[in-house]
Amino acid sequence: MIYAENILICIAIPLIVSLLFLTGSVRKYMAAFLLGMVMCLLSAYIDGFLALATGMGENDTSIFLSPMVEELMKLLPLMFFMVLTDAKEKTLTMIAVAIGAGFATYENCCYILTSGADNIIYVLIRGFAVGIMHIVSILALSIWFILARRLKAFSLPAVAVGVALAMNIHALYNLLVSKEGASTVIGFILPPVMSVVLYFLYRYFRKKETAA
Amino acid sequence: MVVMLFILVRLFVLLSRHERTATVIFFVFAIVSNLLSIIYWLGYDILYPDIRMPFAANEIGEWAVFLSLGASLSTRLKKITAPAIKETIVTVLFVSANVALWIAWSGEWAQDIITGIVLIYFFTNLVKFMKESEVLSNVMWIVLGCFCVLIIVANVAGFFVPDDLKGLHEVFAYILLLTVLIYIIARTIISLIGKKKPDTMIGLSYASFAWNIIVLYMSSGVIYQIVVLALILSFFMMFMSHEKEVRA
Repeated sequence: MIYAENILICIAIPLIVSLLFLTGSVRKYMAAFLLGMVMCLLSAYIDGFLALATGMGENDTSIFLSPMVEELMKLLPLMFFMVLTDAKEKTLTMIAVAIGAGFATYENCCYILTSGADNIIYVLIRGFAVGIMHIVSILALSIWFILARRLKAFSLPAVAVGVALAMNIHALYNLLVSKEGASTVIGFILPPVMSVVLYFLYRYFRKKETAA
Repeated sequence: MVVMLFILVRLFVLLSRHERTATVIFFVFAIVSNLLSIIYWLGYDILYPDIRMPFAANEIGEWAVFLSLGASLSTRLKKITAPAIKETIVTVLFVSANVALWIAWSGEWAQDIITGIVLIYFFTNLVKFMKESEVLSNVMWIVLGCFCVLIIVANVAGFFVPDDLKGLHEVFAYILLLTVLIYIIARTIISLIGKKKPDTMIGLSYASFAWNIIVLYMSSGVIYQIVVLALILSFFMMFMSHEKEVRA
């Protein structure tokens, strides 16, 4: 057992202090990063509660419940920022990346404290797979929101569709890595591949828009 | 899965060469959601073949398909006021009755109610769109309404029919469901071949998908497998109608 709240306090205090000395977009990034970490802790609470309420084991919780809870929790600060401030598109993607990075960083810290950090291969896989997956899913969501806003189609169904997709991608990853074997390898490869595809798609459509 | 991948690739080619509209973007999301839902279901079936899947992400993927298609149609609605109040009320009642039947059959309250809410959003947008673009004549709306009532009555009767008449009753219920399905699919194919107005093609192809879902959730065995094939066909017809409109 680890004391998750204590870990959060320990990591967050220097970052909160640094906020006082930062300005502009770096300050926004740091604040969103902190929010991402808080959301990770809240997700763990909700996951724990739901696991107890439904009687699901650790593996089942990770396959069925965690993706839904985590993606929903990551969405909240992004939506809060998007609805309350008239954020520019670049700021929005930056905030999304920061929330995802904060979420992944805190989750990795807790995992490493639980499982140990003596195996560098495991640490690298953890960093490249889960770390990237949290960033990719929320970044894709923010790009979708921007696109929907541009097309004047930003609505509740549009938000729900985006979150549902993010949940599906996350759930697929959790499902693949839940059993040892070939599926685990596919699961670990999935987030980096998706990030590359997303990056090129994003660049391609931006280039087309600039040309138009 | 292969058909979904094929449609997705063709859609990306289409989007890269032509104007990107909200309608087509939402349709792309529907295809992606469906693809992910199938992959998840397939993955679970391979990894855990002996364990029945509880409520999982693939069901959320299905909801996303209905929401995307509903949102896709909502971007095409021109009038702000509801033009089809009677039809919308019948639609809401029909889907609600379906939800009650699913709950009675499966006992899964939460999933069925949420599926019902999402389907109501999709179906009401579809009916409004079809009414607005005059896809069906007034007589056909009345006939369709009668079929809906008969289908619900036939399925409710299934709980009271004696065991020796169950087979005959099932045949009757399937005939009702499949008659409407065949009619809509046939009309969609005719509209796609006959190069009708884009609204007619889109309305009919979406209607064939919607009716497929109703039949799929009410069938089992061989009929279920046939309806799955019809569902793939309706996905393809939806894609064809969008492709024809974008290329026009």
